[in-house]
Amino acid sequence: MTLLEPSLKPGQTVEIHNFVGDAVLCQRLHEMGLRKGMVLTLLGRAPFGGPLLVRFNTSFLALRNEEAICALVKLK
Amino acid sequence: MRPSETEVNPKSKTIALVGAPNSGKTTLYNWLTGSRFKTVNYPGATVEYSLGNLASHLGDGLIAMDTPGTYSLHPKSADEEVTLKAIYENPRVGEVSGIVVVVDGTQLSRHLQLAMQVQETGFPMVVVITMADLLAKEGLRLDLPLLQKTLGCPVLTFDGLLAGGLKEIVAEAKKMERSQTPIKPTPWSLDTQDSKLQECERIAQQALTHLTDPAFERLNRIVANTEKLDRALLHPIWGLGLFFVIMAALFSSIFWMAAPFMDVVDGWFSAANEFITELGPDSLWADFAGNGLIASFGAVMVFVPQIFILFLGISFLEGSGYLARAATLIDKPFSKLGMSGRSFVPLLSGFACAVPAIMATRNISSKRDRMITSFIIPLMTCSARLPVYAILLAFIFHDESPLKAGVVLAAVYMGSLVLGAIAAAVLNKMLPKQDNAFFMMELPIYRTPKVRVLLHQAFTRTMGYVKRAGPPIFIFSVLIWVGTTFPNYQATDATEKLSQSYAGRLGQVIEPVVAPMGVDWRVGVGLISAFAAREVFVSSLAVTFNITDADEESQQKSLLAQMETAVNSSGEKIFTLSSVLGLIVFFMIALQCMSTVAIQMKESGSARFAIVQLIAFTVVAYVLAVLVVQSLRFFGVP
Repeated sequence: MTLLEPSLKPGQTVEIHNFVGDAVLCQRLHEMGLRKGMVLTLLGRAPFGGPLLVRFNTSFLALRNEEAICALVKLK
Repeated sequence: MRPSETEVNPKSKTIALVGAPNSGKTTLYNWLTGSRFKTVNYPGATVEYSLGNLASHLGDGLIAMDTPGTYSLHPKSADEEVTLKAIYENPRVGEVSGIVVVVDGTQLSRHLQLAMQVQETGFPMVVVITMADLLAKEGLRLDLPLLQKTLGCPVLTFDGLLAGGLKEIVAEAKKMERSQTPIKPTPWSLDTQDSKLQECERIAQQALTHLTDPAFERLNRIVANTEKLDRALLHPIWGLGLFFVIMAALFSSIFWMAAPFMDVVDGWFSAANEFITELGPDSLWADFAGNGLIASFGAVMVFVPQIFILFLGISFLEGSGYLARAATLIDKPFSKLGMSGRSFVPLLSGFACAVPAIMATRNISSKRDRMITSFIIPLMTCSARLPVYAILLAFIFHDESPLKAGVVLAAVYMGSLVLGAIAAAVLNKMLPKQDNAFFMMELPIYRTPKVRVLLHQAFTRTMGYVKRAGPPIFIFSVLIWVGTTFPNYQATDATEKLSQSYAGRLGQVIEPVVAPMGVDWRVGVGLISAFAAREVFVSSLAVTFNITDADEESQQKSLLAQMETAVNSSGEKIFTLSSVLGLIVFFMIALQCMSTVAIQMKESGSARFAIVQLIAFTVVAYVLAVLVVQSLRFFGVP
């Protein structure tokens, strides 16, 4: 499943196991510090179905849908 | 700032500061240069870098260059390209001797990637770790010798609040010397990125130590507070509510906090004007110096308190970490209009003045988003419109409670947002779609900004506005003065002088054009003069309707009385409910501000874009105003 999976709830932790889709977006996700094996905590969404909010280590990121969909994750 | 201080000394070495957004790079730059810097437009791009000599207490022989924040040397957006170009092909400094990579100590593993990319290019490098104070507070220690060994370059810490470590950074920077020609960075493959990131994480883990518990657990505790705050501030409902409260507070402070200062500035310029005019009564030079030069300088300076307070508020929100949240909250609705959350700050600034607002669009990385945002900024109700609305609303409601006028004024403000949304939607449809529009916003850890840093930031930003906006506003004000004074400058009667002036004649020529708006040539002259600055409309009406009271309050009363009775050549009333509403509609849309057009040309790099906008907004304003006046009259509204 991707980070956008609707069954994922705020507070859950997931592990990234791969990246798919737009190469530039994947590169940018790496530059922001995301890589395979990274554990993310889902924090929720901005209003109006806005960006997805995640935390990993000491960083907080807001990702748009088209950005979040590049990360394949499994529940931790 | 004296111009000599910003001259680039050919014997000086140039070092470039490179770092991620929010890494504290600009804070370091400000400490390094004091206020001895200037911003340079890189040819062909709108994003900027700044160059500055070292602050005098730090010695000589070094020029620092601040570049736009970037996560990588493998550019993916316009401002990242600028960073790369500024380092490699900088026409102003010859060659860059070395790079200072600024790394946020709380984000060590992520930001070290950039240091590794710089390392690959062969540039001499110094790594500066910021937020060291935040780490030290939690008892976290950085193993600097280990970092130096792994990165093969000097590693120093910097405390952005008190500038601790500044001298050491300067000393290391001065030592940097090119031994080989640096190569261009080659983008990493995904696999390389993955392994480099892992390497960075390993280095970070080894470098961060704490005596009692594991360092990362300690660091996570700093993070936990931010997470708690975000639960409220980014909440789908509460977060939105708090967002409106914070914005309303910022927005109202622009008005009530600035008002007394604006009165003071206004008072200075009025006094200077009076003084000069009395020196040479009826002489042309005194009129030019007083009503031309001083009055137009005053028109620029009167907005400075407002702009300073706006920048102070924005610096506070930025420094505390909230601004990235505000952009995130508003991203979804803005994305429907072809913009992003990053458009939020420029639009907000537009309510004070369009000029700094358009300059603020530089932070939007996507060119398309930037274009749409700067296109709709002039529709926001800038403060120069306020005096115009004040007199027009006073005319409509002068015998009734001020509450009604307040409600209509609020509607005008909301209306400008609606118009902006419509204009953005239209442009969004017209412009070709573009790839690579990132949002991906890093939400920094919350912290309390230091007053001194905020004041310094607000001051430099305000100076930037004055330097940039001053000259065009000044030139156009002088042009308007010439237009309203000549050729019959000897006339003693102000009304006569104006009606026979070039502007007056132009007003009479365009009377058939303004007639459908229900007004006559005198208002036409006002509309033309308003191109210098919108609030000039009011003083121009005072002149055309021959108001001689010098005192402002009685001037408004007399003007209102004159407006009440003013009739056109065929004896019909000029100012009626419909024509005044028409004027409000016109002022909401028309791009009556030459400074905005000038700054738009400069920032977009396209005269065509600015002129198309000028014509489009003014024509639409006219058509809508006529439509409002004529349909109201059709339904029997006076």
